Amino acid sequence: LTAPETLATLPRAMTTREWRLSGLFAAFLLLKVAEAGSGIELWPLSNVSMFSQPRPAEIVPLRSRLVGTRGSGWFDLSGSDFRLSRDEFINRLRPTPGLARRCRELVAAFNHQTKLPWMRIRDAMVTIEPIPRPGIATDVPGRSVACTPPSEPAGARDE
Amino acid sequence: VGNGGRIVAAWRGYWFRERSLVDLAVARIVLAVGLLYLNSGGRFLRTARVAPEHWVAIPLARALGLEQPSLEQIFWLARASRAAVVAVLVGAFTNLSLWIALLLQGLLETYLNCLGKVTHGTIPLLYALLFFAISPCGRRVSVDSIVRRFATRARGGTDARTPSTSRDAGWPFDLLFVELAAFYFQAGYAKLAAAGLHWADGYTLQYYLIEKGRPAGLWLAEHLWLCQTLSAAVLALELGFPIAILARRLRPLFLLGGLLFHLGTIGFMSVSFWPVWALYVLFVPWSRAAAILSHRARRAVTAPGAS
Repeated sequence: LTAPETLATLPRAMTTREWRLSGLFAAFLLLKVAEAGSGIELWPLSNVSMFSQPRPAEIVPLRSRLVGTRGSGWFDLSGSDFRLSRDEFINRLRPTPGLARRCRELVAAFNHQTKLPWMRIRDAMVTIEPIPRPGIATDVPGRSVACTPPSEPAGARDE
Repeated sequence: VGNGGRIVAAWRGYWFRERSLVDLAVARIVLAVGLLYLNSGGRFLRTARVAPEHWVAIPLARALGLEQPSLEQIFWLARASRAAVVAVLVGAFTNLSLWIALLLQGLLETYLNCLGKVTHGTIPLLYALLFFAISPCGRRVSVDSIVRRFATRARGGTDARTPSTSRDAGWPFDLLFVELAAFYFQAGYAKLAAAGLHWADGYTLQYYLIEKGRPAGLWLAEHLWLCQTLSAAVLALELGFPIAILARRLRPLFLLGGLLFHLGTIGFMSVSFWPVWALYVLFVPWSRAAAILSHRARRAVTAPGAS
């Protein structure tokens, strides 16, 4: 067949429905290629980049905990205290800029939702503990970030 | 025939091959059961119960003008979603039900992603709903097929059953496999783009294992050579997945590898992603499995000495 003849016969090679579906399939394939190529992270578009960031030997793993007190003794707070999943909770405690603010927001929200005054948290902090890798000594010190919640004005809970 | 014709013929041969409509219908039922299980236990109620301070609208939610839902809204959305999925399960208004289930599930997942952590685990599930919504998955094993038969009989037509195979019964599985392959490939490609082959030096996996703090993960973190081996295996699996898009015979092998990978992330890191690997069940060739089982049963009955 010559080129024009081939082009003329192409539409008859599939049914109209198959051409339409093929258009959808092609668009889907292009979307997947674009997602991977662009590094997009815009749910539900995603390049599925979890655990992709390199962590060479010199980077020390850190573990964050949120501890609070109601006046007598410190205790651990977990995601369930805030109706958050473990990942949602840990994400807020990552030792990145803004940690103190995020922690204050957590505790303030907890106090705001707590109806019993004696259950409210008076003081809180995030402790960041380095976990040395096996066989690699570390001189990264542990630290803590204070995040004392703002005191609520009197009568604020009755609004 | 020119190259164009050959390409179109190959394309058609790949996507539009005859496959069992029963397999497609059973896959629809499995998908619905999985969805009902996923959404059980008030999974979405948290979106209404968390303090407003924890609401972090993702771009899609902002674009749709979604605000934190009330408990009542979530309750009714979840109820409507369940009703749509049950309709999918029994095959009543199958395609319409699938579209409704897709929209509601998409909306509920959007809400769930506004709590400060975006999850990728249910993205392939949404695509599965989409692919089934445009497929003839309600033509067999469904209320729709029974109603159609009765309607045909009422009109005085012959009681012709729906054909058992269709050229539209295979591509939903192929599209779903493409989605899964892309999901894994993107994960592997993101690792390569961020760190190159150094990602597999063992230290990166060791870091994440220690950070997660699971006992099995901490044990694994003590063996750097194992971390290196497993990291390399993960990269090979993730980057190799697209091979099985064209090489269909390799799919069981890659799905087995994927299952082992997810079992590893569950055991060592408490990362489940079960809505992804639960989709593997959809690829079971049910009609072939049933034929093999009935053949074996018949042979056992007719075998000499069988009581």
